[in-house]
Amino acid sequence: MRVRVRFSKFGSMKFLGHLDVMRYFQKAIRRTGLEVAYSEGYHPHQIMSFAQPLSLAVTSDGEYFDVEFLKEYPTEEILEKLSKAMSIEFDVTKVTRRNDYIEQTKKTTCMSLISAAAYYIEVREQAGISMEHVKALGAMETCPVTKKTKTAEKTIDLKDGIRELFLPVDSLYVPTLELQYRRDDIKTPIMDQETLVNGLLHSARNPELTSLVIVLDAGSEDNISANLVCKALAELAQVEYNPYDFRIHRMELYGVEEDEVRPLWRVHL
Amino acid sequence: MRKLALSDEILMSVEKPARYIGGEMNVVMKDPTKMKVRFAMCFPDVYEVGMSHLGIQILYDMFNRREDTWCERVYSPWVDLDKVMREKKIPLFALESQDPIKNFDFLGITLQYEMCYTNVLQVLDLSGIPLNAKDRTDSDPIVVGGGPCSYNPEPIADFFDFFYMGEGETSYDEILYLYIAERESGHYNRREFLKKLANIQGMYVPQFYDVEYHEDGTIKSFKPNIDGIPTRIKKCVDTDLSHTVYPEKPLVPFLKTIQDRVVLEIQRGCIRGCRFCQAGMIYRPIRERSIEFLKDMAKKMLDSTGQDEITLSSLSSSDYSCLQELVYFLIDNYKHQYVNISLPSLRIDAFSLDVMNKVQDISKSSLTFAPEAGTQRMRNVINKGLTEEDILSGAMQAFRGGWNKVKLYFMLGLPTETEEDVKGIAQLAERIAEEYYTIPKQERNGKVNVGISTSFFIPKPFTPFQWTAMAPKSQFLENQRMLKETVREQLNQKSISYKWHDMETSELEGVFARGDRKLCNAILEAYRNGCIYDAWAEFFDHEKWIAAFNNNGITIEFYNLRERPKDEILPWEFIDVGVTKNFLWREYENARNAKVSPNCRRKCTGCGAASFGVGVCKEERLPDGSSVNYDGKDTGVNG
Repeated sequence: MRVRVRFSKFGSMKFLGHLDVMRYFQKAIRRTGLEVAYSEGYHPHQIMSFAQPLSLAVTSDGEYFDVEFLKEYPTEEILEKLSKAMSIEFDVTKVTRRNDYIEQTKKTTCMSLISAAAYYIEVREQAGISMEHVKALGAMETCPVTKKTKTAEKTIDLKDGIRELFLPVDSLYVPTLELQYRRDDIKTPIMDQETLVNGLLHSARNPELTSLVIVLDAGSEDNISANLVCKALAELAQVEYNPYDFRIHRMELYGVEEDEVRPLWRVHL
Repeated sequence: MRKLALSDEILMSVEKPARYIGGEMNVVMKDPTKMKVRFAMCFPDVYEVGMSHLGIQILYDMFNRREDTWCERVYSPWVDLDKVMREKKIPLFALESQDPIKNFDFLGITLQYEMCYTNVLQVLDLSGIPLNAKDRTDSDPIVVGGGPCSYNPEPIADFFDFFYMGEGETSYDEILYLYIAERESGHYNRREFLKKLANIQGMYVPQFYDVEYHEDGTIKSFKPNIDGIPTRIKKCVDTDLSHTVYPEKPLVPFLKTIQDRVVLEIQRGCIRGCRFCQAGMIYRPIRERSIEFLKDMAKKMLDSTGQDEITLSSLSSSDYSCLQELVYFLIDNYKHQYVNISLPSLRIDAFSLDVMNKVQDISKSSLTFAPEAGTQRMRNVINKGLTEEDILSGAMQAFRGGWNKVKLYFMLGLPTETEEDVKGIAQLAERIAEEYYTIPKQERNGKVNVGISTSFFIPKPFTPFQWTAMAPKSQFLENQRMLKETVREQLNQKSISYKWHDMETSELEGVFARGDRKLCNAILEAYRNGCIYDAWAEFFDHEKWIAAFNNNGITIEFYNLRERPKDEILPWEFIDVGVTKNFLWREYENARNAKVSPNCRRKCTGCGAASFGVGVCKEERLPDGSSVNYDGKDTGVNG
């Protein structure tokens, strides 16, 4: 049985690196007592694959991995047992079944399915970045930024990588998130209801701070890191970029199935 | 949300921030307002080293079973964070609550090796606790030391309020009840508390004892300076290891630690009596844990941690009477769950080869023998009852079973060592290689690989060699060179590799191991001049240490190169570990005559540990010479 697990990693756990998180979940799965599938060979390992690594210092409600069990279990049972196996500041929030008939190939790994990611970004008061700057980012035609890869630096248009941008607004005393920008090619909205509510809760906690909710291109090809957005905002506000002025929280990862962009837990490939 | 002691900026600026956040699986969190005692348990080295230590896990679990006590952990901040904390004056904190150590009731420091002493000072210093115990006030935590190095606590006596001599399972309840009573009396006074504490068995409060010296630097007298406290400190021994605390839910680190697995201590103590080995003397008598206890514990620990490896820990696993049953139980029950079983310090025989065949990949693993010395005469001197025939036949069985890698551990500089003993190391390796090539070519598995590894012998307190002179540096280096050369001259030199340990820390380790209180100032000065993480080759600064020694009138010669007479008062002599001075001296004489002594199961040698009335001392002996099982072949096997 193949399942996809969504989990949250928050608080001090944002300082755990990707490899440590992987090791943590391998042990957590063993603690559940569920019969997990192992690879063949002299050094067998659990058949497990993780979605996009999260940068250090970023918290998340949208982390994913796929895992395979030897037996059939109700997904509720897996969720319950995994939840019991968690340590502080880790939560398993969804366990969904994946199609069994699809052959496991590179194209169907958790990582390769990813197409977009939703983030909540909050700016520290003293940073000198206001809502106006966020609005300006939404309104700009182009926004050239330098993107560093392992080998080189290149200039890209940040706006090409932004799919949706929402801003918190107070309308009739009810805080809402208002769509500020959506890329031209996007026909159906990406941000799902659950994530939208999550973003709203985050911004409502600190209504006086500058904050935004953004959907960015993600995955192995055109990945846009949330830090690039922060850098662009600093530039717009003409202040020096300090990564600690921003609190970044990943809310969801999206994949494509049947030509539709969906939260990864609703992708069954 | 949990508040961390360090800001995001700082955590992101240091290597491996996960070292400082706590929150691991099975961590114990409590409400600080409901606690009567806050205990900080420290391993004075980096997190990955400290988290691998079983003793702290046992004590952590034991303390936290109490409802009125919260035991937390603290490790040495790595050098990068150390620098930041000093610059920004951030006090050292415990991982669980992230509260400053300074506000704790106790700071317990485990002393596992001598080279951690400057890290002890680092921990105190960063915590804001006065380094010298006599400068502390009622608001400072009580600083307690334990572990193997506390069997000679004198070089660091100034820095501790007390040392706990013996096994932690026995007396901490009594100590905590005394502390709580003193605190609740409304007129707590540090000195009064320590006075009462000094009357609990095993508790050594250095400030209540004075040392006088002769002109030549040796000890003239060691006496209490207050009335009503014992003149000798008797170590505490856990009498029943099958009905005692053991961590059913050990902590599971996020980071990859040195020992990232479940550790099951199958027995404590050792029957062998190797004369160089301190552990084999100070943990006497041997006490086994029952097989039922261990099976139950193995299950609980594997279930609660999700670890995929379990190691059976003891000084000599093959001496555990139910080893086969235990190992086959683990294989039968956990092999299909992909649990790896590791068995250090195992003798090589048909059983161990069968086990290894089942649990390891032969093509990658190597066999480890620890003959410790190259000639039979020298092995008799150190009472390592392992013969060349044992080694050769063990190796041959392994070769026939498909192994082709063998590791051999030796010590250089053992008492009475001659050129022949040094060359004997190379010759033994050569003979093992020759044995391998007696196997017909089509039956063997490529080239054989015999690795020799040598360390320098350091005489330790409470061993028969506590009186002996350590070999001078020049001799070590000469022996190393001679061994290298002998290896190179041999027929099978291409199959033999030789690795050695560095000399400089060994020399210092020798000084600390048998040092006295005069060293306290030198250690303090070395620390003040920047010495820290001395156990790490990249930070060890030999020159700074020599300078600190010179400034404080310390010479390496006095501590290392001197043969001590029997009637000299040794710095650690006030401690009663069970094993008597007379026994150790007898064994020293036997060593000099190259005379072997029987192990505890064969014949009692009257070492003195019987005074504890437990373990092997109460068991029936095996009929003399009847059992090969318990005799001789204590070679080691490692994965």
